[in-house]
Amino acid sequence: MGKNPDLLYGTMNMLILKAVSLGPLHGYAVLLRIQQLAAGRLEIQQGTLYPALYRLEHQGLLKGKWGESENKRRARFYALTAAGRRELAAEQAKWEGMAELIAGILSARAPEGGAA
Amino acid sequence: MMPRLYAQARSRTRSWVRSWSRSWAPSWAPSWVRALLHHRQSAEDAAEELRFHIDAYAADLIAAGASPKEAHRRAAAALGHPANHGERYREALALRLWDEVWGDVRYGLRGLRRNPGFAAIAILSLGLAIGTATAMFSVIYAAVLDAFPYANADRIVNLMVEPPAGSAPAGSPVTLSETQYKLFRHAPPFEDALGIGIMSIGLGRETGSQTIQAAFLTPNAAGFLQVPARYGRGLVPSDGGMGAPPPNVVVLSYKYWRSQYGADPAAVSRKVHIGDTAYTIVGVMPPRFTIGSNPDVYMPFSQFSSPHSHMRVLAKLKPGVTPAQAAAAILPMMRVFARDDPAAFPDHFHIRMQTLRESYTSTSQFVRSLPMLLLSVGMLLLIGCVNCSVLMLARGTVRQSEFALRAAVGAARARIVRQLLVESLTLSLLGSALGIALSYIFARLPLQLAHSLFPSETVIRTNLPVLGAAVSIAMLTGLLFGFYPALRASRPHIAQVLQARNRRTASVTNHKPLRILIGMQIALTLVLLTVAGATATGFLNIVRLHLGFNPKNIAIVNVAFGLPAPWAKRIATLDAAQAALAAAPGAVSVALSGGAMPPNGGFPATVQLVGNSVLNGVQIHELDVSPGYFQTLQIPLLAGRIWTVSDAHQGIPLAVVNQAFVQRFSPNQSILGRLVRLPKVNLRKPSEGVAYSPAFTAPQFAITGVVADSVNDGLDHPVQPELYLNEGAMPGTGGWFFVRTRLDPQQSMRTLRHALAPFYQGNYVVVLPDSLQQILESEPAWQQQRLVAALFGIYAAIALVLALVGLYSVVEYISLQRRSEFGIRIALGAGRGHILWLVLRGNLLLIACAAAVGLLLSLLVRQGVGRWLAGSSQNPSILVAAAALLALVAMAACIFPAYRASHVNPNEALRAE
Repeated sequence: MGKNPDLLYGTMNMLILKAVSLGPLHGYAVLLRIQQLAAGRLEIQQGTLYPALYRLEHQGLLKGKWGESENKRRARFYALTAAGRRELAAEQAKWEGMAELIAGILSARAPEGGAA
Repeated sequence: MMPRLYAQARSRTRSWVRSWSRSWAPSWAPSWVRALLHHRQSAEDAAEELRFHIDAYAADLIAAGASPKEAHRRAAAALGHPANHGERYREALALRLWDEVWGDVRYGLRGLRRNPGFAAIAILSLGLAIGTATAMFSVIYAAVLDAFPYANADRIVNLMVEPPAGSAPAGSPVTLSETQYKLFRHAPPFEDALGIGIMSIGLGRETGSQTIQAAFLTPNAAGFLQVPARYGRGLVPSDGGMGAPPPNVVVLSYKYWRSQYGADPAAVSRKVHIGDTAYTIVGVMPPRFTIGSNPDVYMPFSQFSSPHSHMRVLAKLKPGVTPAQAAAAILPMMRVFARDDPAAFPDHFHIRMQTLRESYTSTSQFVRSLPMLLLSVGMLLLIGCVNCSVLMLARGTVRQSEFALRAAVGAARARIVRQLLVESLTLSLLGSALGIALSYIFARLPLQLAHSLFPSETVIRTNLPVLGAAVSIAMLTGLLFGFYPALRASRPHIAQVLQARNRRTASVTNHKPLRILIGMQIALTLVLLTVAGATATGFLNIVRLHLGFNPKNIAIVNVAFGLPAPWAKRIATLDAAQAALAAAPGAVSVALSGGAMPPNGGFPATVQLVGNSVLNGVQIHELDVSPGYFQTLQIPLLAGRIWTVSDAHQGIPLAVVNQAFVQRFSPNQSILGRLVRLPKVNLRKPSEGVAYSPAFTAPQFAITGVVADSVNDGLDHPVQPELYLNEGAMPGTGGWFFVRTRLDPQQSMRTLRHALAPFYQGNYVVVLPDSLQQILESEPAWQQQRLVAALFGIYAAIALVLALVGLYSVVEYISLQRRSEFGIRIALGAGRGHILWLVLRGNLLLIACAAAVGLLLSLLVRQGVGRWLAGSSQNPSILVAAAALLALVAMAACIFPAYRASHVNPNEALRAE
């Protein structure tokens, strides 16, 4: 697998929710957290991060709040709302089910004695 | 890198803005609502967030070894173009549509600013049309939908006594004595009843120096009507002073307070003198409180000391009781009242009850003409819309290349339609702003021209329903006139348009829709012109109506006896008053009448013509007059004679009838010398307020003469049979003097008042502020005719101007488009006349066709005019005149652009391309 796989459509939201679920983060930290969790194997297009954050906040899955960053600057921190937590759980379950299904399909072998 | 200090300063300001704005946009509001309310602030928040991101990323890059400048460049580049972020942010919040529409609005407004002529004409057309429509709606709202401010006004009814069909007058209000009222108000169908006494009173220490109308309300008025006073207090039950000596208090009506006290709130607690008694003003009522025939002042009923102490009544039905049920339930009680006082009721009467609104709408001529008025307002609205459509179409053609370009670079059709619809809605909203302003003027007009057509409670005022109606009319018109041009303009033939830009000799547009719209406008204008012509002619007819009497220069004076007097004293007093008036400077002749005011004649009386089967117990108009009445009002004698002054002094029972009486009851036999009986007159028991002469030995009068007909049942009804009786035989509680003056009666009022000075003591003396001519002109029929003539005149004038402007702009626009064609024609040798004809030809045909359609429509509308606008003329020559006027105006609108086109300089026209 290459260093920069195309992010599957729709997975960005899930990754953000996952990153934030561990504690409120500002936008840049969300980016760093995802990269850290992916052990550097995933690079996110920075330009797509903020529209996704705005959309999630608009949908009520995240709650944005101004706070102070580690280097004493004003930064906007995003925290998971209750709806966001439910959404993350649902997305995760869906994703796992899908991954299992696809893994099952891919690991299937041709039946013995089948027509060639 | 942004200097840190600056950033901190900005962030401080922003936090102040935020803390201020948070107070009015709660944090729980959806993010897009907050973004919409704090467009600026949210955008800055987003920008600050991005700046933080760039700084943080840059710091990491520097830590990894990049130079600060390079680090910032890379950090910013990684995030993408900043402008995109703002847009994505708003898109994420679903604000994009809003932004686009707002952009459309601004683009449309810029376009309007660039074409001020187009904008002005369009907004003016819409403003005039929406203004008239809104005005009509506010009048309907104020006069019909929400006229009466009293508590549970939909349950308040008035009662009419109606004689059997065929009698005249058709009905009169129920009046009750105080004892009857006490029984009446506890009748089962009623929750309560309000008694109202109405009387003119003289104000000031010298009685008669000023006369005002007073309404005397029973003590339950406050609870019955529940309208709070504007200042001070209204009448309260304790003012009624049942038994106890009443406090001398008076409450002013709004109109009297405005005119006499200059709307000064300090008027409350001042004193007024009525006769020798001082009364305290305890309050002022609001403008819509006009119960009791719109009087000047209100007083407790205990002060009501009129000789005719009968009161009018309003009843409030119990919830769930219909007026018809209540009328049936109350009839037995009224029959008992009729048995006690037979003269007050006709034979075989029944009772009609109507709510306040019903009794207005069922009799109002204004309400009757509403369908026609609404139709006209609708037509005007349509004309205004068509005007805008035409302008938009014409402009759309000019903008075709713009739209073609937009479509060529990928604009969706829906996007262009939306742009145009937003523009037309913007126009119509601007038009409705103008319309609402104009509607204030238009809506006041009906009340100024014809106050007697509306309930006196009517006050035109702004309110949500009216504004809502105006805005919905505007939206409707915006869609109506914008939709078709938008659809047309949104489908440009891109290649054709873009190529044709430089060669306008051949028109790329089809002008047919323009012509159809203009033709429609002309046709509708013609319809309005014919209606206006019919109403104006109708008004002229009523002004020139043959009344049968001469109302010019007649002043009116009422003298009422303070106390009931014996017959001889009444005759002496009335005779002396008449002589005093006749001797006043400027008086030509004086007549005495029992009180009916032409053009409404007489009181209902049940009459029998002895030896005649037709006139047997029928109710007709009856009026007691002095012999000089006919001469003063200039009603000619046709046969026989009128009784003499000496007959009047002796009270000989003699009578004169009008021609309608003869034609209806005795067309073939001579009427002279016949006897009319008044079966309701009981000589032994005079009805209240009347005294009989010694010569009046039997309740019958001998007919001595026949006078010509004069209008006596309102201006809009045929003359009814009328019986004039010798006033001396049974004088009432006073008399009404008609004084013919040499000059304008207004100038004689003072001398008349002065002449009557000896009679102030012990009598009520009132010089009416209005002359007979003025009373005639406040007749509903007169005012109605004047009102509809004025309204339709205004509508037609607006329509004519709009049609003129529309036609002019279309002809001008088309000939501008063909300018280079004309240039070539002239260069090739075409004469100016030829070009002129080229432009005019098509338009003349258009005008002719439109006029034909308009005439057809007018013929259709004629029936409606006949039904809804009674009194307007049906003369066919009006159609011809209207068509001629329209043709003339339309020609004028075409000639000017055509003339300009024929004087195109070929060099310029060809070089301009």
